[in-house]
Amino acid sequence: MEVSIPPKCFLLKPLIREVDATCSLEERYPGVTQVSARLIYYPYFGFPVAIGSPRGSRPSPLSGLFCSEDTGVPERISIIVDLLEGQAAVTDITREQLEAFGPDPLPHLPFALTVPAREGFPPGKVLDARITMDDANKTALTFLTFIATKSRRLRRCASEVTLGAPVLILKPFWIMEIQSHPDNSKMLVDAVSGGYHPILT
Amino acid sequence: MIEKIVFIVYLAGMLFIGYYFSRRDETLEDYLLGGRTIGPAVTALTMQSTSMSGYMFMGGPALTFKSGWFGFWYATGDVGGGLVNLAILGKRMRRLSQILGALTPIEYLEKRYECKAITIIGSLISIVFLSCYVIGQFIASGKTLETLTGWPFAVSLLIGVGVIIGYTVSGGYLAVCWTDFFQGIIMVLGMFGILIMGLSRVGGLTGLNNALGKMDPTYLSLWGKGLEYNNQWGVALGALLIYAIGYMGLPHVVVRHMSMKSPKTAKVAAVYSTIWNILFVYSPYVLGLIGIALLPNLKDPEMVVPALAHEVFPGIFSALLLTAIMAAIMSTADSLLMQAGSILARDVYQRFFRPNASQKQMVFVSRLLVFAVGVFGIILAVLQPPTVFGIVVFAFGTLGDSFIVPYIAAVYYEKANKVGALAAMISGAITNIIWTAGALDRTTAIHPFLAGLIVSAVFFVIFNRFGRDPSQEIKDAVRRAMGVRIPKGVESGISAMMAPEAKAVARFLREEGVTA
Repeated sequence: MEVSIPPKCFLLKPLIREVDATCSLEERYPGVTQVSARLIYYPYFGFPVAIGSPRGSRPSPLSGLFCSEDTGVPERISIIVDLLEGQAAVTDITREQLEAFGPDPLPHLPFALTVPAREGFPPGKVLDARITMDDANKTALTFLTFIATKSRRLRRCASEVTLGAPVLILKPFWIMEIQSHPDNSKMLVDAVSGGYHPILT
Repeated sequence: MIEKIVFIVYLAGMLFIGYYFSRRDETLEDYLLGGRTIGPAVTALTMQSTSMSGYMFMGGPALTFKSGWFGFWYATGDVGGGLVNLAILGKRMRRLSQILGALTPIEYLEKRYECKAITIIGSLISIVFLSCYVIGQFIASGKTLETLTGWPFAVSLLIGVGVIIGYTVSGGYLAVCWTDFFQGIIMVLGMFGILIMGLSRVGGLTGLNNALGKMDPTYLSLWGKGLEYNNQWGVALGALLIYAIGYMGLPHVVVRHMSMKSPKTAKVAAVYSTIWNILFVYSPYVLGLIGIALLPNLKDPEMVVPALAHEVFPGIFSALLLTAIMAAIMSTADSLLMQAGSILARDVYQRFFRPNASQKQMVFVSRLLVFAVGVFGIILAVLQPPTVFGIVVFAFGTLGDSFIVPYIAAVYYEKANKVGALAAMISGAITNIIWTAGALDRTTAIHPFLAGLIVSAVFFVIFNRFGRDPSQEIKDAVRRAMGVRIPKGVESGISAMMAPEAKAVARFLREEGVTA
């Protein structure tokens, strides 16, 4: 599937090194040892959000990702849509965590793209996207409507909540193979937050 | 008259469904396993309607008609049978069969145990006892049509067998699954409807028990009329286990694991099949008890349900029941014939006689077996018809005793080898046959199925020590089929928010593995 991508592409800087991830798992779970680790980058679309004023006046400028530079408004919320599973979530990613990335303009997704080695981190393959920009837009809008009903403030100005143009964000993860009795298993470790989840292949 | 009209409409509907889905068979995997695309609802209902044969309308009610509440040992085991089968074998067998590229349950055993002899012996046992089982269904169809239409038994038998065979050869596995799905719905509606009518006639369960108690208080005992099986725990346990775990040894039932859309299908299918079982399984046994109260002078106990419908609830209920009985018979018979035919064509004909056989030739061989079983079944049923209960329990028990241990060991014990599997298959089958033929349950108070199962398990444990370990490739395949085990203690720290990413990365790794 060919997925057109927005002109801007950003990399979420990896913070957790291989050795940190390994130590963290070994300390927490004695008996578990790491066999191998591999860095990958997971693609998302990030949508800035414009929110209407609670007093009913004009909407505030777009909040969230990258808007502060243009508008001077503090960053608030953004919505990201996972480009493989199509799940949406609110994110608190800040500008400081991101850096511009990639050839400009990028080719259409999926692309055989590898993020080169950088600052002590090995190169990492970018996973191929499966969700189109249109579908991601719809998902983000549906999700925004849903969270608007959960917030009193947003509920009052729900009609004035709009999505901005998306950007592509690549987030780093470690795929770690760990040795545990009786078999080896795989673990996905977030290279930004250190969170982890087993990979059930 | 209305019975005949409803029956013809039902047959036309099933033939149409069968024809519609048979057109989708493009590859051999489509023909034998429906392309492994079967979802949870169809998996659950095809598994249950295949498992519940004409026995449920004849053998089961006849048992309670003769022995009272003793029959509920069988019923209780049966209610949990689908859940046990899917929970123990479902996921792992689905995974392993795909890893090994097996299309029939016997081919699966051959590839898992790396042994040709398993194919020969397994095919022989399967074809013989699946055929015995299907003959039980033929007899049930003849008896049903005889009672409900008034045609002579021989004519009814010819019509019943003709319908079953014509209907089976018209489509492949996918057609069988989808017709089973609709037949499963008809069975549960028909059975439950008649049960409610029957209970209302006898004043509910309390009224029924009062009536039975007045006739003979031992009808109310779990040890049989006249306390025939008093404290015979070996018989009771065998009766409980035969349908609780027996399905795991039936090739035509376990093939449903191999055709599921994904290993996860098993979990949802287990829920559906349990709900269906709760609604369906107890009903025929209770109807057998109702028969004692309403038809105490009935000559053939196996006809208790058709007789109840015909004499007590004539008209539309009788027609409904006729279709439900025929649905039960046909949904089992088509799967039995399909499976026996597949084993003969794929595991015997293609494996040993013509490796380059075309799909057309294999289908022809499969249909030849269906035809031969039909002719033999008619001759046997006309000359000396065995009881449906007797032949079904015998065939079911022998198949179960032959295959339960090899199937379970295949996915739970990576060191299970061909010597252990062969010993388990042969000893289980022989024990059940000897126990049944010699009526040893009378002298030992141990059910033939339980005896066969114990001997099969013991032989497996002993003989497995004499065989060589399977190849590393098979051990790796079994480990993969067991699924990833999360290391102890790790669950507590899992970041649930990362579940979608973990799922996508798992898929990426699988695809990468395939490409590599």
